[in-house]
Amino acid sequence: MAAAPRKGTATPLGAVFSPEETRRAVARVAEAVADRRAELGRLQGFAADNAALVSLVQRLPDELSHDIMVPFGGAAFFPGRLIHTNELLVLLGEGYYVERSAKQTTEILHRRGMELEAQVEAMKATISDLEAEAKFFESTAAEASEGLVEIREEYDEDTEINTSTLDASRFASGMPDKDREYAQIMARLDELEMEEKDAGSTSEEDGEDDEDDEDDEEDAGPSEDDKEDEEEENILIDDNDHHNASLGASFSGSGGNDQSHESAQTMNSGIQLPLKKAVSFQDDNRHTVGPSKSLQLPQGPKHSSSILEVSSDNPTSHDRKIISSGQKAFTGSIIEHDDNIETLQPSKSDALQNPTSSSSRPVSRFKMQKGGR
Amino acid sequence: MAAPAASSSTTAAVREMQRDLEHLQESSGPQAELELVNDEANVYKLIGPVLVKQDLAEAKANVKKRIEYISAELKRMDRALKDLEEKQNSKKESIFKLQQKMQAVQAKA
Repeated sequence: MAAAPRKGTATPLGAVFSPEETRRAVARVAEAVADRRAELGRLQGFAADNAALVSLVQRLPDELSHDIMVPFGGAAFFPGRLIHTNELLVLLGEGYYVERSAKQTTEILHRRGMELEAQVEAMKATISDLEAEAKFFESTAAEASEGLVEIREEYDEDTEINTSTLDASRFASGMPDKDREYAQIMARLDELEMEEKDAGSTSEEDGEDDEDDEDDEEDAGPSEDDKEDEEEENILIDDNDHHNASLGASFSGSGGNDQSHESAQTMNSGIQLPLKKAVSFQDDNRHTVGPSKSLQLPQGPKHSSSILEVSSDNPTSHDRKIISSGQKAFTGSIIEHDDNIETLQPSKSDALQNPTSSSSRPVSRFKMQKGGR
Repeated sequence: MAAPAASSSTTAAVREMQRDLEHLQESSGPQAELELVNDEANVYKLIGPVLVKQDLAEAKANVKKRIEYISAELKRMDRALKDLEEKQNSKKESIFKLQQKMQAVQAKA
């Protein structure tokens, strides 16, 4: 997405040739090949028979008569003599027989043999064609299953000249595919972060005007605090930040717990959305604490006090909320002493905090959407 | 129901044509060989269980006639096949038109 505008299309081969269809095509071609092979075998049998007959007919007139065993009724033989060894009745087809000498017969047989050879050659050519087709189908099927992509680009001379240098430089930089992918993902995350930030600030404003939003926050309060409880051992992560907390949970291996917790508390998405709003509000509040403490102050007490009301039934969060509410009743400077903030603030500056949360927050939002809905 | 009947008669016609072609190939073999046979050779025709001696000229004429007949039959089949295909196409077209009309009516309703 961040790359230069791409010309042409990239279609996965699997979409064009569905694996099932290619498999069926391969099977059909294989069947045809088998049929042709059987036919070829038959023809080759004819040719062999013909050659044997030629040699027999050539040997017959060598003697005036041959001592043979004459087949009698298919089950018995009796001894006999073959005479007139140079007189043969040759079936020409259509019920026509012609009396021929051995020499003439061999000529006829040779002509037939030539015909058979031609047929065999034609059959072999057909088989090789079919086999090539089968190989093509097979390779296509394999490529499609490997996820090969067909790239089609219209050749446009102007754009080609323009972009070729750019492309060259990009390829020259030798950015491995993985790195580029990673960079793209990070860029997308940043984008999402910005969007969420905007959404958060608007929701914050809504919260100021709207009583309902505060109620939503009350709903959200306890659950958020529960999460904090889970995450309290995780010191590195800012446990007041719900998003960070959920991310930390998923990273530290208790993701399933975290998600089930979320789904439990957000049986319907109607609750989840306000929760996010509330959290993003808190986030936003804290982000702006550094640069403009005095400005944020009026909002601070109002919201935190509402949280306090609900979270009073949860002992641990109760304490913290008292602290936070007290802190916010004072000035912004005391926020720095909040233990929740402390975990963040000493280690990271405001400038640093933004990127960290920027990378984590969109992810957490995805997780919430995946887990909750 | 016209389409299946037409297609089945088409396949039947094709089959008949293939059979005729085979016959043609079969009789072209004897013809070529009979042309090579010298005049005083004995030619027999298998009629039922017995071989009947035939005049070479007669045999040649018979085979030739047979080939002519088969060729004519092939041509006839070819024409019939073409007719059938045309019929099929026209029927297909009329079906397509009817379907379109039906869709238009359904869209209106």
